[in-house]
Amino acid sequence: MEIDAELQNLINEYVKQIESKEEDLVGLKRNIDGITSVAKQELKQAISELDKKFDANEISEEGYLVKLRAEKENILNKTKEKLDAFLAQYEKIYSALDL
Amino acid sequence: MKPMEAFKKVGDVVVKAGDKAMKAREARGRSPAFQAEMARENAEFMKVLGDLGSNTFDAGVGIVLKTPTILFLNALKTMYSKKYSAKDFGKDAFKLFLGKDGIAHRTIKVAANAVHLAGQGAKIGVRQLFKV
Repeated sequence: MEIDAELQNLINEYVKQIESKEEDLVGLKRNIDGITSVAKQELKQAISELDKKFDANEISEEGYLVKLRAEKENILNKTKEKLDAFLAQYEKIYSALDL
Repeated sequence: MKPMEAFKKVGDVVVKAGDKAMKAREARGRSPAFQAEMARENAEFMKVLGDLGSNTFDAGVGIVLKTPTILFLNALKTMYSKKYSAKDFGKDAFKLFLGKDGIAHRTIKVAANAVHLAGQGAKIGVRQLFKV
């Protein structure tokens, strides 16, 4: 499809702007991945502790699942709070720099 | 008690505890309902976590690209109003950019997808996404 040259220039300029922010975007992704991987690690730890209790016959299957669900919800809520706080801080920095 | 006897006694206790733990694990492994529920819980956790990450990333991209996107959209609108009549709006290129499902209305999403697709360290392939 043919695109008007002026429109193409405008797009090229916008693309250039996006590319100039590449480092920021990659950094943003890395930070978010870091927060979510901590959550994965926390769940793994919780499962390992529940396994130990289960192996020692301290909890039943039902008790295991109840505790796992509670732990899961707790981790997800904490992660959401962390991500929200990160985003708020990010927005504050960007607004201050007026980028 | 002789030292060897004491060691043997401790060893027996450890082996017994290990057997008990293994039996408990096997019992859990034999419960298909429990296994299915664990898999479901894990999958749900990963899905919610993935959604939280994606939503935060999209919002972050919006913050990073706010200024260039506003400038781009304003320039696009100005260009359209100066250069094209309502009749010209029907042209495919403009439908693509300014139509209700056009790229101009989802530039942030396009940019976010570009970063997701390119991955860390790779050059953003956003120019490719704008190619028509």
